[in-house]
Amino acid sequence: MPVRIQEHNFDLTQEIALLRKDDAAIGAIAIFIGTVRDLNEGAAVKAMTLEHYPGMTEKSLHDIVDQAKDRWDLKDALVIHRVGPLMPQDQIVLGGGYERASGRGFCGLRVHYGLP
Amino acid sequence: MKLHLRFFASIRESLGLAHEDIDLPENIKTIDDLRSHLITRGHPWTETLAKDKVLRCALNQQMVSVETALIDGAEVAFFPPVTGG
Repeated sequence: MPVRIQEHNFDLTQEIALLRKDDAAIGAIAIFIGTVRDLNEGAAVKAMTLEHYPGMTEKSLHDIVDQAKDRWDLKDALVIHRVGPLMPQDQIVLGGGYERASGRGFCGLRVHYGLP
Repeated sequence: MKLHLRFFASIRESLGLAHEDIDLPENIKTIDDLRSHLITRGHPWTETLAKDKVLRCALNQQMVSVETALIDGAEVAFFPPVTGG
């Protein structure tokens, strides 16, 4: 269950292929994409810079994936969280996964923004 | 007790410091004690770490409360609360 922290954008098609690993038995993959909003607590957002705590961020995201794995029968999952300078509408987070038994692709990866 | 301190975001900017190694007196037992100790340094520590400000803390990369006991050799991080999502 890979977790990645990165500054650069991600391509959804490439990430789904990475998650699928050429496994034709998979019938569905659930994907959540979080994007930067232009509003935060009533204040307009023109840009933001997201910094992180290397080591702790990865651990926290792994913990979230583990929680999802306990709750659903995930065969695999992927979490990508971007850091650094971001603009409204930019992709900031991806959470994706698929189930072990049915392949229906139901998952509930909750990703918390910022620290941890 | 020796600790490695790390400061993030607005706290780092206010202190002008990202990290430091510190050797503490024996009477400093908890994260709150540490915060009080740092506040005694005066400006900019006093206002940056003031007790009426909400800060988050981590001990060895695990979020903890301020009552948490310190561990010799640990890494302690301070950062402001983050909103969004």
